Amino acid sequence: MDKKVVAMILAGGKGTRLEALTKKNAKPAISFAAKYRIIDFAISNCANSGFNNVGVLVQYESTELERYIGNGDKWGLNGVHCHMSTIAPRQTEKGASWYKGTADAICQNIEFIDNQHPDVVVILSGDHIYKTTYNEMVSLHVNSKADATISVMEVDIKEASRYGIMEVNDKDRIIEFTEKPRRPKNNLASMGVYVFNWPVLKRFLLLDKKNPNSSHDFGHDVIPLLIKSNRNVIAYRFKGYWRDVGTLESLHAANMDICLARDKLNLYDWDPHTRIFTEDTPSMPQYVGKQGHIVNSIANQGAVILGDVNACVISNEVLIDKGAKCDHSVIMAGAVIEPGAEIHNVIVSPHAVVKKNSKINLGSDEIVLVS
Amino acid sequence: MKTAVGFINLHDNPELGKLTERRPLGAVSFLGRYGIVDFALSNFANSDIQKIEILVQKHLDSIRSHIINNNVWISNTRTGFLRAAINEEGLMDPENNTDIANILQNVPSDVINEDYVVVASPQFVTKIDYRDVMRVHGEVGAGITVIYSHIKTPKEYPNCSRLVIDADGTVRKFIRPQKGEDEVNVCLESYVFSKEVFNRLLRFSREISNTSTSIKKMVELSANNRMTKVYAYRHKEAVFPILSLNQYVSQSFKFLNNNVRKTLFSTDWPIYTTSHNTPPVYYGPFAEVDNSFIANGAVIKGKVRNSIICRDVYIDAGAEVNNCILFTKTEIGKDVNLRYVITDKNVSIHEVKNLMGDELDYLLISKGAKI
Repeated sequence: MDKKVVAMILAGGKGTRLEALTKKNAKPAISFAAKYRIIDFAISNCANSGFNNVGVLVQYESTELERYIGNGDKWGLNGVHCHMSTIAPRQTEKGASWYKGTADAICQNIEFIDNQHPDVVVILSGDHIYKTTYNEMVSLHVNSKADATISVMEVDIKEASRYGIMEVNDKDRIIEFTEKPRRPKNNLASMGVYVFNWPVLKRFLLLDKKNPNSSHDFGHDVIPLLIKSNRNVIAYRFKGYWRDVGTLESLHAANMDICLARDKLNLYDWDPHTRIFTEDTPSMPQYVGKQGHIVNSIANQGAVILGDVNACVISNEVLIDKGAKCDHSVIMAGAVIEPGAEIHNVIVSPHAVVKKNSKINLGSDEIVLVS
Repeated sequence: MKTAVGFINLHDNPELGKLTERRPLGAVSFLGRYGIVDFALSNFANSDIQKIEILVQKHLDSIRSHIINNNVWISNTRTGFLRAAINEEGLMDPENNTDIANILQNVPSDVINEDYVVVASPQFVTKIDYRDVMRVHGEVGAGITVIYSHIKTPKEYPNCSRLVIDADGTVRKFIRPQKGEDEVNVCLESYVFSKEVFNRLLRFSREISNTSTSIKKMVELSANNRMTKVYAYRHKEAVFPILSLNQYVSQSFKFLNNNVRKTLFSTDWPIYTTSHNTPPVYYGPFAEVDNSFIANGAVIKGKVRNSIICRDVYIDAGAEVNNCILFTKTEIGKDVNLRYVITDKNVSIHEVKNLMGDELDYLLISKGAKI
């Protein structure tokens, strides 16, 4: 790649809608698909794109997330020419300041980015599930001489008001961008993946900083300002699986996709360009017992399955005891489903215990959390 | 605090037929996700031994690729190390390709500077806390401490040296297996040396240019001739010897029993192994798994019973696998039926629909075979 790229991953949000899962843990550090954490996808995508410079912006309950990211070795980002670090808000000469919005988080770290002398900055969200490389998008950005490129996908029009929605012309130049519109005009949604020319972004971040009415957010403020200023902002049409996992329902659904809709997000395609890397655990091999029965599911090492499992995502060191029945559930590391317990559409948080013979959420379409 | 250097001795390990034709015993897959050497390495790691040298007699590559991420077994990668050493001259001269010659060629100054030298042999799978062995070694003022296990089933340990122990715990002599043995003290070929004694043995070997000797012979000579105080340390944990292919098979299957498993795996004694970034196990809609270990990356669509399935194995729908050990990247096609079979790495079975070994004579399919 000719252009030097720095990737900045936004991973500071609280994730309130994930209830107790984010009580003591940042959303990107939450377990996903039995073995991974949510942020593994964004960082692995960077590694697979050949990006060597990655900053992860953290804020809410960041201790575990910072430990997890470490020096980037889990994703191979600790070698020569690599620079990976977590960046929390900090005290400076001018005082202490939290990140006030996504754009402010980048703005407060202009020096970090400048020090790496990038041509292009890629802004990503740490809580999206998708497998990709960003190279095609960066190439489109460079070849189109764009100032900013936004990755977009078509969503169900009924869901469109949850996203940043774009109007584009016949050349996919974005002519209007509205963050979470009440009445969306179309269904072309932003995925929260942006490519910027760094000098342009820097100038607009500093402009935005001076605006007292700004919420210092990319979707609400910086991108609309770029478009209003007649900058060349284009859409990159992403084809593939992508999910925001900001709610219990969407986290559950994305986990179910791994075991029930493998054509959507296939972890088993052995494509060396889109492997997802993560931390390993010194777990025992996974064991399925004599009365154990497991179908349509994924399970990580260290799990012991003695009961009946259908359509579940089972993390390491989970015990599903004899006579337990687990259906359409996500069972996180170290949780125990005691004998005779039955669960349906449940997310069981790490180390939680579902007591003997208890019946949870049977017959319900709702997703519930056991913590 | 006393310091120690650990040697894992891959010289003169037992041969497991075709499984050790192109790899040392230590690199043979065990229980789906380990190499046999991982148990000795983890004993060192859990005993805070931070400087580890694996003495490789031949087939260096498979060990080197196994330990490529050395920080799995050592804490501080600056002050500690994990290396694999081979005696290159010895490759041309098998008679002199001994562990002592390997150390003489690879220890830069020919002198060990750590307080203790700990030697372990991988064929005895067990958990040993060397901190306690070293403590006792210091307390009794031993020059060499020999770790032994009191065994009521001597036939499981053919060709292993037996210890005759005096009332004060010193080794009177080593003896060969006797006829009609009942209970015996078996040497586990794991030793602790005071550095002065070890350096003396090295000096002696160098001065007489006798590189055909070995650590084992030197220890036995030291005890039988009262050259230093050789103390016998009784190891009380369960030991699983792997001295032949049949024993490798029988020990592997023993671990399907939970009570056996608990003797080796516990949360306070993690067994570390290298990470391969494989996804969790996927179980398809018609999977039937019973009493088996399944390692990550496996895709199970057929039936698996009483078996050990390693990383990235694919078992297609309609296939039946009974009492088998399938090594990494084995592929079992539709409707293939296997009983009492071991497949080495990268075996692919599609055309031949039935392959049967025998409980006492497993059918071993060579690495890379396409059937």
